[in-house]
Amino acid sequence: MPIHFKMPELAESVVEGEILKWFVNEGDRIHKDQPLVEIMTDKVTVEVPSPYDGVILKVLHPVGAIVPVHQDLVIIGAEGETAGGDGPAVGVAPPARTQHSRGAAEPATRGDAGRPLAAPAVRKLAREKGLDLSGIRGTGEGGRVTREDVEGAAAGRLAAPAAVEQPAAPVQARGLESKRVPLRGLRRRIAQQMATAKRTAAHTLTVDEVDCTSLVELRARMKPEAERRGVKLTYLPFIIKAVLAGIREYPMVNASLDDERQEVVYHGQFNVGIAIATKDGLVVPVIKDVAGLSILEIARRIEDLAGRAQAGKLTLEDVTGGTFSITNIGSIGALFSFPVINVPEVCILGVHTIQKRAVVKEDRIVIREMMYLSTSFDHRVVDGAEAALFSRVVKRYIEEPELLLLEGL
Amino acid sequence: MTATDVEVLVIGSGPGGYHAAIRAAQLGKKVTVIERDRVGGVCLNWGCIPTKALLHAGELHRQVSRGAEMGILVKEVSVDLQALNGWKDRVVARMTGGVSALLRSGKIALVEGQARFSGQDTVEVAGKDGKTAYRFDHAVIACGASPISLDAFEVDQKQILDSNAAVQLERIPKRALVIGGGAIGLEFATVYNRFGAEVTVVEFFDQILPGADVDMVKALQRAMSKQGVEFHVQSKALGVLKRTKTSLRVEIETPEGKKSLEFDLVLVAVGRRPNTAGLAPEAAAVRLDDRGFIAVDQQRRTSNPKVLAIGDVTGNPMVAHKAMKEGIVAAEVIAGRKSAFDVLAIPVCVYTEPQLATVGLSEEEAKQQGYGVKVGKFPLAASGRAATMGEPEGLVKVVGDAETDRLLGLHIVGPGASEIVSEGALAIELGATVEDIGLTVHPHPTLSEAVMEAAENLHKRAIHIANR
Repeated sequence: MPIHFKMPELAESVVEGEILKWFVNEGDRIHKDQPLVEIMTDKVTVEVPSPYDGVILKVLHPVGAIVPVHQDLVIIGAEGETAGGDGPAVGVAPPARTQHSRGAAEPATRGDAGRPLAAPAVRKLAREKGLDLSGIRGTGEGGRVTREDVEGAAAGRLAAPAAVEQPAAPVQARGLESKRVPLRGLRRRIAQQMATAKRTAAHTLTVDEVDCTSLVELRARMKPEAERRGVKLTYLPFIIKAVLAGIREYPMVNASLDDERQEVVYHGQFNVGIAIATKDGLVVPVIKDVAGLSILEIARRIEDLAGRAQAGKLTLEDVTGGTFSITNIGSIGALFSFPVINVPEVCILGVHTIQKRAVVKEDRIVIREMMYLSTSFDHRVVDGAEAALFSRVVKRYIEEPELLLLEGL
Repeated sequence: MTATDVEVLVIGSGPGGYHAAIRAAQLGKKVTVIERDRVGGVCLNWGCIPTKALLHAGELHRQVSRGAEMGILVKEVSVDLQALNGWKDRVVARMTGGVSALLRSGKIALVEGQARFSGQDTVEVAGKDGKTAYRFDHAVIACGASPISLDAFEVDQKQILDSNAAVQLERIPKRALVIGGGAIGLEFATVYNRFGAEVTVVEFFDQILPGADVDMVKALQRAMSKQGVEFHVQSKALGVLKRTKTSLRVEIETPEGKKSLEFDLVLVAVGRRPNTAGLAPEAAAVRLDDRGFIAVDQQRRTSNPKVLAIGDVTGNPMVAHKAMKEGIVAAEVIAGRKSAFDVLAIPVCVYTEPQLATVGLSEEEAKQQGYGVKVGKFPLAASGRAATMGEPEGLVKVVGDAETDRLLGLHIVGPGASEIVSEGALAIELGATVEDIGLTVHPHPTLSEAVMEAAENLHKRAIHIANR
């Protein structure tokens, strides 16, 4: 009896997933725990193993499809079984047939058959969409790639194996390229998240200028010691601790808004999300329960999360549970920014470049290590005064980092 | 010399060039075309159009001459060569005039002269009034090919002609020697033969139309032999032994030994070579392949990203319709479109008597490429339409993949073959099976029925012949 394997519940609050990659083709044998499919949720990418031994009878969704949790993903059967029965599997040919059809799926070896079977207009469409026909599964008679196949593949382009290799076109001037790229995968998640944030949260900004001279000196002194312990010490762990101090006094910035139930959720833990730019786009892994971690441990966590973010190896656990976010554009050299809140959180702190500036201290112009600190908050939950006061606390703990020691933060 | 800036410079106004120019203009480009001789190139002036005019006139002559069998009695059929050439020239003038008008309506500038690259993006044109220089955003080389000459047969365009001169049918030879059994040679052999000449064809390779399907070549050679054309394959015309004002004694080496034969006209049609001399492609860093053709990719780009090349100058098959398609592709690529020359099969037509038309793989090619090959054949002797035309000579052959039944090649010898072969091109492009063709209703009585019957014969179920 064929088994309809369903989209698993990958995490609480995850309601759908996008198919990034099938590790199997119809007709393939598969063993229990062998990778079956790669799925991207709005949080993270997960490799789902097969729960059974058997043969892949029918792949029900192409790469790029967004499938709700609990919907059938794939039909797995015993050897020789067919994907009969009801539902989407009706009329599916036995896998042996698929193996025989020459065309898209299997690279043919001879003559013009090296090209996939497709009509001229379909070839043109694939070319215009930048798709390689040989990477598209043909569903037509004898493995023909149909117009629908190409359109389906274009919709799921993120994971399409290969774009048509065209040498740098002479028609494109000075390295610029005109193209349209479908909004898929992480980019789509980011787009949705940012639009939701801007549509719902009442973004308001408060800014302080922070004298980091003491922190710069402190960090310079501690850096070699941290290095001896195998950790690269940046300013960020100190700033995170300073935020913790601010949150203790103004807990509303470490809250979330539950729109549906019309409740403000105050969090008993400070779990800080760190915005990290990867080649695929922005991800926000979370350091959990900062209160229980030393500066060194925070530095170590940041290093670990950043490394795994770049490698695309973050787990669902890594990217969930945040209560507050920090975006550090200072590492790129940015002087100032207005960050978008990572909803349903209500506050995000923008950390910027530290640079020597002439400032007035006790009526004298002196050179200090200065930084802008921008607090972007949801005015629905946090009032301007609260945010400004929170910012003042953070500022104070950055300017006088020895306070952290005093309070054992 | 100050250079005039142009967006798209097309070198050559033959079928490839004018297609590229018009398509580029349609896509909003400012186009300049350079032509060193006549608008329309070889196709309109010395190739496709005038030869088909001559062949059609010859066909009319033949049909009238043999009308007695069908009860059409014509007392005396004679040929007025001056009138014939005049009609042919008017046809050519109409077609070239049409191309000129199309270029004008596309606001395409036409410049007369020989183009020569002087840099990566510059061309000098030597015209009647001296040199002019152009700097281009993109150039399309579409300058074609010219007849190859033979040392032993120096072309004087009187007794020894090349194909360019032969289209001006100054006289009808009594005994003509055609050196080269390719498409051009065979078509002129047909022209001479239709007007009553004795024709001998000498081919260096082991069959006329080298590379064509062997069955088809045999069918064509048999039909032409019946009309009196003499063939020597695996043979070589060595040279002129003796020459008078009216005759040439030519020594021919055949597998049976050397022969000495007398002719009053020799046509040299041993192939064509790309017109790269004088173009200086190296000045623009445009690379040639090891056979001297301009090397291009699927977008018809050369090794210089600003320069594209199309048509005969890029290699075989040297047929106008390939150049036309490439011209469109090149223009679209220049305009930033994702275009490519991705055709699976280019039909090739030879307007002999009967015609030979072919698309896709020959049986031999299909086997070489590793297909399990199945063939189906249908002789026109079994075609009702062929019988009503009094043209029973001919054969249709389909080549299919035994495993998938896909049509790999369609080959036709018979009247109107050139008009029927497109069905095969469409089938191959669509990936149709031989069965698809066999199951498609073809009208009766037509010659195209023979295609359906040949397809059914592959599956041993043709109706009008014993299926072996």
